[in-house]
Formats: sequence, C-alpha cells, structure tokens
Amino acid sequence: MSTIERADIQGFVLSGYAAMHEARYVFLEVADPAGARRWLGELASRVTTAIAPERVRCINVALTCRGLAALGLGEAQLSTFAPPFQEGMTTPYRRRVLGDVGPSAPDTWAWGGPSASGGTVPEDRVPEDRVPEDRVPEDRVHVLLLLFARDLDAMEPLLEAELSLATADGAFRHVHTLRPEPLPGRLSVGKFGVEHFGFADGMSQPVIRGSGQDGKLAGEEARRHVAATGEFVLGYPNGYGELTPSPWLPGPDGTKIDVGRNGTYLVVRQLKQDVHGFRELVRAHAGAAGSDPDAEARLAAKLVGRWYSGAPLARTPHRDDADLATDNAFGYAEVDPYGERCPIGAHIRRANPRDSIAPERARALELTNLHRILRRGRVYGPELPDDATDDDLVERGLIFMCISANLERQFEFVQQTWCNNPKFSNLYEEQDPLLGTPPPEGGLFTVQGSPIATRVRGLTNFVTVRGGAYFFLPGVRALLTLTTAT
Amino acid sequence: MPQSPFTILTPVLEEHEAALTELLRGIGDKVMEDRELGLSTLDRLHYASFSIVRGDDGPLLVFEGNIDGSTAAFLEHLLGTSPDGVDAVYRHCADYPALADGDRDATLSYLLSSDIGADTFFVAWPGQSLDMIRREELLRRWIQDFLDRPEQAALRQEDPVEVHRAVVKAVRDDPSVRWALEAEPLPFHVRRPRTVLALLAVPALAGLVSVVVAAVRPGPARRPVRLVLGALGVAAAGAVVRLRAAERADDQHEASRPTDWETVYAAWSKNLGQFRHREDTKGQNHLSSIADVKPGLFRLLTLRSVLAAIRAVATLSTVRGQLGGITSIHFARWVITPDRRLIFLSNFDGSWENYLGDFVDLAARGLTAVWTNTHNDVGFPHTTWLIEQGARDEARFKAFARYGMVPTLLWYSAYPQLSVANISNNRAIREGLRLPESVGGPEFWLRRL
Ligand code: HEM
Repeated sequence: MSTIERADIQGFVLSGYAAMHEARYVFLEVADPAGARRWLGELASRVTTAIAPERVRCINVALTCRGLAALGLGEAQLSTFAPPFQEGMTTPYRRRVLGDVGPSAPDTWAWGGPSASGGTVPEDRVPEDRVPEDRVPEDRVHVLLLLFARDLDAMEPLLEAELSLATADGAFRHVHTLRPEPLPGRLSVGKFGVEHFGFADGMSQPVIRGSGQDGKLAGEEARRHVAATGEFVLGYPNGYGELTPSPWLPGPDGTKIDVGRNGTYLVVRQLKQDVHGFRELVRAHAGAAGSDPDAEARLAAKLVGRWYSGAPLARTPHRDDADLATDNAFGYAEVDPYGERCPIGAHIRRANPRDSIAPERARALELTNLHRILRRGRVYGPELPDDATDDDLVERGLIFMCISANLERQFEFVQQTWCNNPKFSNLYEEQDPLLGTPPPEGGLFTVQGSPIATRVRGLTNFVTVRGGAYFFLPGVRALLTLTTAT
Repeated sequence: MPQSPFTILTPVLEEHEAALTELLRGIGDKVMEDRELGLSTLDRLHYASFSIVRGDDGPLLVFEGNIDGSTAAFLEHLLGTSPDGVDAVYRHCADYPALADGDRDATLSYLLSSDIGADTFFVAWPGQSLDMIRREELLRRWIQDFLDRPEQAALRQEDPVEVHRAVVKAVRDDPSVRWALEAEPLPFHVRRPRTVLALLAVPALAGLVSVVVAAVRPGPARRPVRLVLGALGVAAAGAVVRLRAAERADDQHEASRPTDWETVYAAWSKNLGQFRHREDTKGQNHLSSIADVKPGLFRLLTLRSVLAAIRAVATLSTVRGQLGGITSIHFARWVITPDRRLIFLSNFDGSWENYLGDFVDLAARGLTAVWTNTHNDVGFPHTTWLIEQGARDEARFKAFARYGMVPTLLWYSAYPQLSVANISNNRAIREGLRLPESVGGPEFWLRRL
C-alpha cells in the first residue's frame, strides 16, 4: 500500500485547514429522516476531500450513532460500529474512562449530555436546578457540519446557505453552533497559535504513512512521528499491520457493504479552561520559590513540558529558547530518563511519552505509536488579558477535536492510561496537571529534580469538560451508501 | 513469607444462583466496610474475588484468594473471624456443612477439598507480605513529608550523600519508623535469582554432558542411551506434526463456521455493560475469564506443558515484578478445572484496554501458547507453531478475551492505591535507606522519592 484514496477521504482527516481562519461547527438534529438523507446525499458532492487544499471554503460532515439511528439505520446495522461510538460518551463506564466526573460530569454539559428522560442513569446525578435549561442533550446531536472559510466574508454566506439547505422542508433542526476564535489569533514566535494558558500549540502531530508528508522524514524522526495509515483511516493496515474492524451494513445475499473504508472516528470535546486559576497556581508557587524572575514561566513550562514559546524542556531545560519553538525532534529516554528536564507527569510527556515507555528505545517508539491521535482543536472565547487581576468569568477554552481509527486504543487510551492515570510511569498519585480532576484538597504535581524532587500541591481543576460526543467521519462513498441504506 | 493461591470451586445449588449473585454483588459494593465476610480486616489477604462460572453440571462458585502463608491457616482464620459471612455465601452451595451446625472441621475440609489451587501462579513480588507492603508505603510517605518540610529546605542545596544521611538520622530518631533500618530480606531466590540459576545449571549441565558422553563413548550404556534419545526425538517430531495437524484442523473449522467472529462479537457486545459494572472504579482491576479447552487429549497435554513452562520461567525469572514484560500484574493464575475449562484470574494495575494491549504488544507468544489450546464462540485467532500469530491479531484477540470474561461479583484489593511499580519503588527506598549502594548510591536513591 503506497497511496491513500484522497478523493474519498474527507479533507479534515489530513488537514486542520490552517488557512481557513473562520470555522463553525454546526449541530443538527434529524427532523425528517427522508429529507435528511436527501440532504446528506447532496452534501456528499460538496464535501471537501483530501485531494487538494481548498482556498476559500471547506465543508466536512460527521454523524453520531444516534444520528445514524435517526436516519433510519437499525440496531443490527449499527452493531458493527466501534463500541464507544455506539455507546456514546456519557455512560457510567465511559465517564470513568474519560475522567468526566465532578465538575466535568456530563449532566451539566452544554451539549452532548444525557437527555433528561431515560438514557443512562448517571452515578453522580446533579440536582435538577443546576442543569442548564438551554443545553442540547445527546439525543439531539445527530449531525455535525464542519464549516471552514478563509475569512468572515466567506464564512457568512457559507453558513447561511448551508443552514438553509439543511433546514429546508424541515429536514433538520439546527440545535447548536460552536464558534471558535478566528485564526491566526495570537501567534507564538514559532508562528503556531497560542492556546489560552499561553502556550504555543500544535507543533507535535503524528504523520500519516502514505500521506506524502511521511517522505520528508527519515531515520529516527520517521520512527518517532510516522504512524500507520490505518491508525487514522479505516481500511488500511494499522500499527499491527492488520485492518481495524470497520463498520459494515448487511448487503443482499449475506454480503457485507463496507462503510468504514476511508472513514474514521472524530472526537469532539469542549474544554473550558480556568486561565485565572492556572496563573494563580503558578504565581503562588513561583512566589514561594523566592526572587527568581523566571520562576513563573519555569513552573508553567514544567506543567506542560514546553515553554510558552513552544520550546521543549527536553531540549532546553533551563530557559525558553525561541530558536527551538517548533522543535519536535526529541525523545526522553536518552537525555532525560528521570524527568529532571521535562517532568514525568508533564502534559506532553503523558500525552506522548515517545521513547520512554519500554527499555529499548526503538521498540518503545513502536509501542507509543499505537496510541497516537491527530489533534484538530481550535481555541474558543476571548483571551484573558495578561494583566487581569481577577477572573472575568467569561468562558474560554479549547474545542478539542481529534481523529483516531480506534477510539479505545488511541483517544481513550491516551486520556485514561496516560493523562489521567495516577500510576503513569511509576508515579503515585497525580494526574495530568492540565486535564486531571484534582481532589478537593488540591492536586499534586511532582517536579523531578536534583538532589530532590519538588512537590507542587494545590492544583485546581484547570480544564472542565462542557460538552462532547463521538462522531463517525465517513468516506464520501460511504456517506452516499449510508444515506441510501435501509 | 511465601504467598499462596487458592481457587475454591463449589457447585451452586439449583435456583440459588440469583440470590448468591445478589449477595456477592452487595458485599462487593461496600467491600471495605463489610464486616460480614470482613475481607478488609484480614491481615494476610492481598486480593480476593468471587465469581460464578459455567460448569458441565451447572454453575460453579469460584473463590480466589492471594494470601500470605498457607491456605489451611488462612481459611481456619477466616472461619474464626467471619463464620456468619462464610455461611451466608456457602449455604448457596451443594453439600456445604454450615459452621452454624457446629462441625468446624467438616466446613474446613469442605473448603480445602474444593480448592483446586493454580496450575500457574504469578506473584509480582514473592516474599513481600501484606504487612511489609503497608509499612514500606508508610515509610515512603514519612520520608517525603520529612523532605517537604519547610525547615528542611536547606537540604535542597546539599550533596545527595548529606541528604541521605539526614534522612537516615531522622528515621532513626523516630520510633514509628525506626524498624525500617533493620534488614528484612526477601527470600533468597528472589534476591539472588542468578545464583539460583547457576546452582540449577550446574547439575543440569553435568547431566547433559554425561548423557552425551554415554551416547558417544563405547560401553554398556551406549545402546540404551541412544535408544532413549532416539525415542525422545521421535516423540518430539511426532508432537510437532500433531500440533500442526491440530492447527490446520482449527483453520478448517474456522473456514466452515456459519457466522464470522465479528458478527458474533458485535451481537454479544451489547452485554459489555454488565462486565464493566465495576471496571475502572479504582486504579486497579480484576479479570476473571474462562474458556473451554479444545477437545482431545493432545490440547490438554499441550496446555499443561505450556503452563508448566510459564511457571518455571516465572519462578526462575531474574527480573521480578513482570510477567513476559508486563509490569502491571500483582497476582495472576491459570487453573484448569476438572471439567476441562481454563480459568484465568488476574489482579492488575490500570485499565482493561491497557492490560490487553500489553498482552498483544509484549507477551503475545506466551499467551498464544496458552489460549490457542482453548476456544469460545468468538474463537482464538489463527495460530501457527503454537506461538506464532495468534494474539498478534489485536482486534480478534481482544474480542476473544472480552467474550471469555466472567463478571467478578466481589473483588477485594488490600492496597488499591499501590501499583506494582510503587511497591517495588517503596522496597528500594527501604533497602536504600540502609544500603544506598544497593540502589546505585544516594543520588539514585533520592530519585525514587
Ligand atoms: C484545554 C486542554 C488542553 C490544553 C490547554 C492542551 C495544551 C497542549 C499544549 C500546549 C501542547 C504542546 C504543543 C504541541 O506539542 O503540539 C499539547 C500537546 C499535546 N496534547 Fe494537549 N492540551 C489540552 C488537551 C489535550 C487533550 C484532551 C489531549 C488528549 C487526550 C491532549 C493531547 C495532546 C497530545 C497528544 C499532544 C502532543 C504531545 C507530543 O506529541 O509531544 N491534549 N497540548
């Protein structure tokens, strides 16, 4: 297998559309199944594929399992989709896997939470009065229309046109729209966008074998970043050299119609960030450390694993270095086995431990690369001014999106076994400093150091989940099949 | 103190399964507070579980224990501390002589005679008693708290040797942790695996050499030795031929199955919820699973040999705390039931997805050699030469494993907050307090804190 079928793959799989400064994520609920199918069938011809980058606008589309059911697919037809996709994000089990507890429990989500009637019985039910009135429950989240445009002038007509087509003749009800901040937003020295805590984001992504970009890497770099096509697109060999089970519909005479090929799964999570709280923690601890003017930036970098500019601690442990802002050519095993540069529990070291999870480095990279995700997030909400002394209580955060062909082995694994796991890599009782849900008395973060480690206590809940769902991002042919299947 | 496994297998009375299930789930939901069975009060119990599996003649109750010392001593103690709890559970089992009836010996021998032990038993840290594990965790916390005290801030500018010295002094000065400075070694074979290997290798090599010499050198022994060697060779070749035939038969069986495995699994996966009832509620998990041994004597013999081989490797391993490279298992066992089923029980750190992923990534061959001799409706993936392929078929192997799972109705862990790595790290902290060189010197010792 040397090439991938770009004409059949939705563009979002291979590109985050950085040139598209505006994005709208539109949630639709099926109102009239026949009309909805007709619209989806027509949309298939407008969907942006991975053939060539668009210059003005891009359209992609994804569906939830409830959406497929609302279009008329029966239980038997849905049973071959990945279990997490079928079950949705809010079952008691998935809450535990994803760490969606306490303030992140789905009951208060703005969208994607359990519906008031029936559905799953949450373990930690929230009193009725805390459930927001206008929230969009998961049984109304059916189709996600991903719209991208070069600028606002191009976005406005696109959004209007697509919405009116979708809702024409009552095919869909428009239930919610997510509106990320326009790119480029604030840029770091390395020209990558900056997320709300102030860090450059997006430098490290896996490279898909066969995407054309993999040819640019060789040797150690290729081993580190290139992942099998089937890790991100169904129908191609995955990291084990096998085909990940792909959904199919029963065809005539016992045949199977593969609807997975060139499709993949898309995770969407609205992650609210407590920027003020994050700055407070850093300030409090840096203040305690004495008069070092860089102490704040240093502690912040320790939590993330990169400096504000993006420069990795594994490369430059003592000071930020703009020249290394986009550097991604590093490992941990050789230069930093004990976490004295980049702490073992830092966000990026948990989210991708690179060569550090097995005694032999090349093998460790192979193992790590069975758990990679393609991140496609965009920032939402206005930034908190650097000189703000109080929390302005405005919601801001990251519309986290990621693509993986195997939700359990990739996205959920990263979230559960690496980020949220208190026992990650010989640690005792701390979670990802950004993503974890700390206990009421405050969370712990260990900064390994010589001669002794420093334990930072009092971490609060910096990131809270406000909405989420699993989507299927079908190939173009499969989209047509799904809209005609009965 | 050595650790031992028990696997008590007793037939559940007809029509009692639902009541027993409910009882066990009820206790399991509050296992730490429960005083009826009182598992959390037993100071020799590392892990325990109850589950119900299918037997030829109806459901069987499985009571798994991972304990310090002998099973007899443990059960005797349990009957003393929790007579009502034991009766409450086992009155649902056939022919159970209740304690309430007064014949304690009869009850004890009922349980003991139903214990089928383990064909292969794995312990991450042989010799480490529950008491030691708990104390060494307290010690680790004590030392960390000491180092974190504001008045010790000056230590951060010190040389590691000085820091170590300061900690040792503080430990010696506090009667609550002073015990840590006394030696409390693990068993010889755990501390000195290489020595044991060398000691075993000498007679084994000597035996091998004398056999070879006898077969080569003219003398009265030559003929019989050659005959025996020849017979062994023929038997080995026969076994290989037989194995490949069995594997081809499996392939044929697979090709002719009416519904493919993905369909079988997809239909079944709706039941996953009941297995996950308590999965991932803490940092550790329990796995109970069962599979039928494939028909015929050959598969049973193969399975027994493989389990014996794994037992030997696990016992003589020079690297503790791991099984085939998997570092998250505290206690695990395989046991073959009298009605030819293979039960696997494991107490491990982290999630199911991580655990099964480790199986595939790190220990595929060994696990293939075990489970290829068994089957269920999903079926074990295509295998060649006993160890090749098999578990490497990630998706199918995981489906096979999920399908074979039995809900654990009650599970107890004495230290859910400690991982295998934590326990070994605590051990090294303790050892390094007395002998820093044993962990690479004070600098490396401090890295563990
Ligand atoms: C609001 C929440 C989050 C913030 C602020 C955040 C921030 C960051 C930053 C600043 C980086 C470094 C930039 C880079 O290496 O590209 C990064 C990397 C990364 N993050 Fe996050 N992140 C968030 C949520 C998540 C979540 C939910 C996941 C997955 C479960 C995740 C997975 C990753 C991965 C895989 C990397 C790349 C690590 C590497 O390859 O070295 N992040 N994140």
